[in-house]
Amino acid sequence: MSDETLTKVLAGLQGRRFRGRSDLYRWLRANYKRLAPRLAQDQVSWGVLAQEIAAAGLKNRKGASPSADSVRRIWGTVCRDLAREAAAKAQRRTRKYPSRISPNWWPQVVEPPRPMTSAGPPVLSSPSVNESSLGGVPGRQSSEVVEFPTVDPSGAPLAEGHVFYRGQSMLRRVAEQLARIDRQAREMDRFK
Amino acid sequence: MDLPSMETMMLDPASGLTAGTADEVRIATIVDGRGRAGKTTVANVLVQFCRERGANLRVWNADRQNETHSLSVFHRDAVRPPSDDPDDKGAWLEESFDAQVRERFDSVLDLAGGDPLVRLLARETELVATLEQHRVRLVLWQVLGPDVADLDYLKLSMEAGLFAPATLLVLNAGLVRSKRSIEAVFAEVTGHKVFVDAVAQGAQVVWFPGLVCMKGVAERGLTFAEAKRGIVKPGQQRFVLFDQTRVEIFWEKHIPAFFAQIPADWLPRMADRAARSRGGIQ
Repeated sequence: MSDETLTKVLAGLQGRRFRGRSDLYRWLRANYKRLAPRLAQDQVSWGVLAQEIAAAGLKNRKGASPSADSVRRIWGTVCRDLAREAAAKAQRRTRKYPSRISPNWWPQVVEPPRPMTSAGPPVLSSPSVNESSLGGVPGRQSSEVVEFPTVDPSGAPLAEGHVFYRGQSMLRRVAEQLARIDRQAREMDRFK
Repeated sequence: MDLPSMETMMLDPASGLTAGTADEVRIATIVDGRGRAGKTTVANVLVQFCRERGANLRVWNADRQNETHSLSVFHRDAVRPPSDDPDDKGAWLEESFDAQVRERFDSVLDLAGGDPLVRLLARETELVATLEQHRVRLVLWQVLGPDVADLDYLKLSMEAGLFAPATLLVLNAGLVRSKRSIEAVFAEVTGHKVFVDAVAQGAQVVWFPGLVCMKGVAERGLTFAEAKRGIVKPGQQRFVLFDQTRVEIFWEKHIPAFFAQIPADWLPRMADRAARSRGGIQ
């Protein structure tokens, strides 16, 4: 990591939140999205990451260069904190409102169908029902992008293609479907 | 109506039904689940929705135990097995699939709660793969209520090889009558290993919307199109105003939204889709 990068990193840390946390914590947290996939795929070892961080001048709270173990441990803390914050945010969204289902309730739309695999060419030319005139309400069919942790609460990276949802590791596409039905259920509950 | 007499219904271009072409993939929908999960209601909605849109659909009603709310009440052309004897039902089902392969139509099969009829055939004949070879795609609609025991039938279907490749897990929100949240009531089911495994294997999950006055519609033997217009049969009590509105919202908004969640190639072919594929609708 060059001096210029270091300067940018340190400048970026100025005035940040998480008072009382080490620079290392702040840096790992600020770069979570970029680091998590690489750590999950074992592209970077803790030792190498610790060396790069030390070379960049980041210190732990005692002012020492971080060891591989402390980077791993603090990474776990970052993951735990982010997971807790995400769970708290989700819980705030589950307020219930007393009523019946809304006339305007509209579920999210699933992914396009998978092609048929074993009986000749797929049937294709028919457009999806989503595109048809089957009572569609314009502007209701965009799917929400959900971000899932790619490490477990202890900070251990999950297997490739897996994410952490509902307290367990699962395939990303499974988590996406479960998150969608959870969201739709909450939407129905709002009008129940 | 027995099978031979149905041949006269086939693919008449003048009838307005979707004839399709001989090599087009047809859809065999099987509606399965535990008793009282809402299979017949879901099947009835499927048939009415598709037929309103010109689907060439045959209804197979294998649920001989349910007389009052059976599909035959709503669809007079529904075909039933000659008896409740397992051998009779098995032979009837084989003949029905055979007719579908030869005559090229879509079908909807409503099973009695927990009926092993299809699972037995699936185990014996590799039903899904066999039908696919003949360009008939089997789509399993597994109807689930909030009871974990409902997953037993999903597990059995998976074990019987009925599960892949097209399976829809239909969560029946209409079964939640308490003030508890739908999310909480279904949490045990949607968090269960069997459910999560099914999704991991490619099942799609959809919520089937509830209708407060569903019982009133079913007991009058009305279609949803009739009920939303306030039509009742002679001797029946009329619908109260707001129930009529509820049916209209259900049928015009919630049900189209429900179907919009289902992959198009898992649904029976409908006239507007056929017209679109020919460029007839812009």
